[in-house]
Amino acid sequence: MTLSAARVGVRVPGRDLLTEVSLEVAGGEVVALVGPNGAGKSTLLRVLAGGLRPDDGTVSLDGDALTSLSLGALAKRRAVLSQELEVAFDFNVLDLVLLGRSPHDVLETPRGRAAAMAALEEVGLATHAALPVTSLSGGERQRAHLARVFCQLGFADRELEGRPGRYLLLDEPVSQQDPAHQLSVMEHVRGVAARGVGVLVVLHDLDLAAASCDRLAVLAEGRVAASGPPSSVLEPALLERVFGVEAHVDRAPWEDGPPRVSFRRVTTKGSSRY
Amino acid sequence: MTARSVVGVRPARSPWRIGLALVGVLVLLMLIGVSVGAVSIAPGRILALLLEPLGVADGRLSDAERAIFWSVRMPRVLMGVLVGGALGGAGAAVQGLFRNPLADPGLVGVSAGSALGAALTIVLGGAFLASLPSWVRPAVLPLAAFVGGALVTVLVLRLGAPRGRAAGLTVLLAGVAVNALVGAFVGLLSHVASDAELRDLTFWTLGGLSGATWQKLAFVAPWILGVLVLLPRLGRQLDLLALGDTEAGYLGLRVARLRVHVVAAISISVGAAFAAAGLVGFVGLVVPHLVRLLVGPRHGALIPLSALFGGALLVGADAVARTIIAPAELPVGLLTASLGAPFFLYLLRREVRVP
Repeated sequence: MTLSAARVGVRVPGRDLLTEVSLEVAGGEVVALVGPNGAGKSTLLRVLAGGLRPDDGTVSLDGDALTSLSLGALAKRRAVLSQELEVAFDFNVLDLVLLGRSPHDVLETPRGRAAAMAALEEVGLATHAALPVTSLSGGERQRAHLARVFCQLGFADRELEGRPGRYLLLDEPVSQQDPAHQLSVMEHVRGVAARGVGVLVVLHDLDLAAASCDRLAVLAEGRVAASGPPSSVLEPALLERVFGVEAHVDRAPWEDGPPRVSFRRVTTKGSSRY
Repeated sequence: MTARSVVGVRPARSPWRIGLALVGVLVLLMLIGVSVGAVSIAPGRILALLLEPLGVADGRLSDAERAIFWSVRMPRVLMGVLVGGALGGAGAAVQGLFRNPLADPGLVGVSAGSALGAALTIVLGGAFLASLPSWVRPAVLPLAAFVGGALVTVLVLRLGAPRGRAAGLTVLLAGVAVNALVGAFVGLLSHVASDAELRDLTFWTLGGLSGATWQKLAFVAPWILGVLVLLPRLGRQLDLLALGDTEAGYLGLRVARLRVHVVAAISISVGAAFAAAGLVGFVGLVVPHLVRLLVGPRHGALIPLSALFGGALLVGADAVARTIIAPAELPVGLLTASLGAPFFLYLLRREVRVP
């Protein structure tokens, strides 16, 4: 049971966005996709989501080519949280979350509403259910959309949660969250994975990725530079090569803590112009 | 954790309750619509007139009253309900389709196409019309307007969405370009038109319900009612589209197919409305906005309630148009545009306000 990209390539005129990228996400695991700006993280996420057809290679969901699945069938099995979402009209928060139920319910059902409320409860927005989306802060809006994609995966719906082969793709889900909410969002994501969902999450914060994900895949210039458990991937030499800055890795000050990374701009003798 | 209280939230109003209120307003305005005009019919007589065909005789009714009520006022008011309903419902759908509260059914080319059909008939159809049997002649202009609206819409879809890969922006841009092109043709036709033809064309463009007959009503009702029954079923899909094409696709929506369905439906209902009443402007733009303020943006409720509101608005506006300079009457499109345009500007100022 995996969502996997095999030797995927994406090109735009004059530039290769992805080259021979292979990546697998298994049910129940949380994989972080990290890398510098422009490395191709969002592009890879879109390819895995089925929103962008790769020029080379294939993407398959539990063995079926993504292209062989209908949009409706796909929507029942994987949910996507993109960056920079804008809702055209002033829906209230509960209605926004209910949109996540549309692959499962033809019409709105009490079960769907209960699930949507539970998802809002999970992300701490239950009291905001009746508010218009535009009245929320950026961080709250992001969490409302998170509740929507949880709902799409059958969150709090006993019948839907039992299904194997569900995947969640998150593009920088904590970009607008304060430190406390960053941790709680990742905790919710872990909770979803604990119910069998395979999660791929684009993150910029390597410490957060190391602390909350099973595996890290490092993308650099459209290629996978490294992939594996956080402690083996977060090596100073690799980080310096990929991010172009001086890196130092130590451990959190508690036992078996995840690796922690500190960065410093590379300073070579005579390079300072100040 | 920010603990924001739920106090101060607009109360969630039930769409059913608002629908019921709108039906009430519509019926009231229809009653006013059949009673006012050059000859007014007292409200008490209307019931008698309605009951007479059912066998309840009322000796006080005159033949003139019967004729005005059944041949002039009733078809006119019913036409107002249909045309306003078509425009209101289509406006709600087209705004959802383009994710833009300032979109108007005319954007997809229906109004320009209808105008071209009408202009061709009025300016170049003289000899052709004369060759037709007299009972066919009144049907030619509406038919030409209807077909013109449909054809230009197909053209917009073809150009803006090749092979069904409809992107919202390209359809919109194709609509703008085709509208300009078709507008130039209509301009050319009005340039070569005689004074009388030009006057006919201008009046048609202003829109009005004065030509309403039972035949016309029978011609447009199936199209408009059919579309108004089907459109709300696309409501949930239009709701998904509010998230954008990509996100809606992730939720299983076949965006390009929805776009074709909605545009086709609109070209049918609005084309029929324009065919019967000319280019009644701004109803499709303004009405969905007001209804959205009342019931929120969910299209399943927004589309039917916008249709009801549009019907009520047009019947009301027509009653005003008939009485304000009686015994003459204003083209109702003039009234809706002169009320609609300032409202549009007000909306524009609100939309561009930095949040």
